[in-house]
Amino acid sequence: MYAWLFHRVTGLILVFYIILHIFVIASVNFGGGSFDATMRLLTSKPFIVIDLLLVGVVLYHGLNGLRIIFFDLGYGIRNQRSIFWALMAVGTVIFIFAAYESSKLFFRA
Amino acid sequence: MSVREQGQPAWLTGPGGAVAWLLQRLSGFILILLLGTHLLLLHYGGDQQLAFASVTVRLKTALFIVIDTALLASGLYHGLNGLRNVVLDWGLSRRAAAALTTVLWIVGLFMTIYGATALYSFWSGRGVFGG
Repeated sequence: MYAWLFHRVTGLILVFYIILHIFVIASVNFGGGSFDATMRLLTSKPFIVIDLLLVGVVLYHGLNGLRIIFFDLGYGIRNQRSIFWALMAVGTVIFIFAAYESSKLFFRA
Repeated sequence: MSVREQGQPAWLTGPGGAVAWLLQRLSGFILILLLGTHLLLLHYGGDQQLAFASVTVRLKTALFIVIDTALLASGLYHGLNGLRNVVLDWGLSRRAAAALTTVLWIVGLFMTIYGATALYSFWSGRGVFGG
């Protein structure tokens, strides 16, 4: 139930983000200088933190989505709870790696 | 009558529901591969500068244009269809549901084309609107 709710909430965040992301990247339509100025803003400290949170949202949605696909294919219906936590463990490991990389960028920014 | 009252989720029982259900799983799986590649390459790979000069070099390669266009289209499909699933679960009339589907298709097609113009700007090395 909470996995389902959280899947929806993260999904809504991501659909909002993808629209925003396309407009931001399309700043290149106004020239390379415009794109570089946008990227300078988006690689500042606050955005490095926001981007790391976004990585967490993507990891949850992607890994839980993988569980949904398994489930719909008929795999792991009996032990979906343990599959969920195994996937969350994988997500945590990837998130720690991402947090380490972000921290390097953060202290350089 | 609200489509919700039929017992199963509206997004599944509505017109094209089974196809949308399948495409949502398919696009989701594709996104795990493409978005994983996208994040690794752009943020955890060599190019952490994310500057016009370096992105332009990468997007001169046909493979990246194909990958990024696929990512753009599958991401928008998955996101907007997901949004549709959420809204339909509130219980809309058939008419409102059809209108929602139309609006989301227009948004999706517009954003795909607009995103493609950005890819074209990188590929050509100059902004389509100038600069």
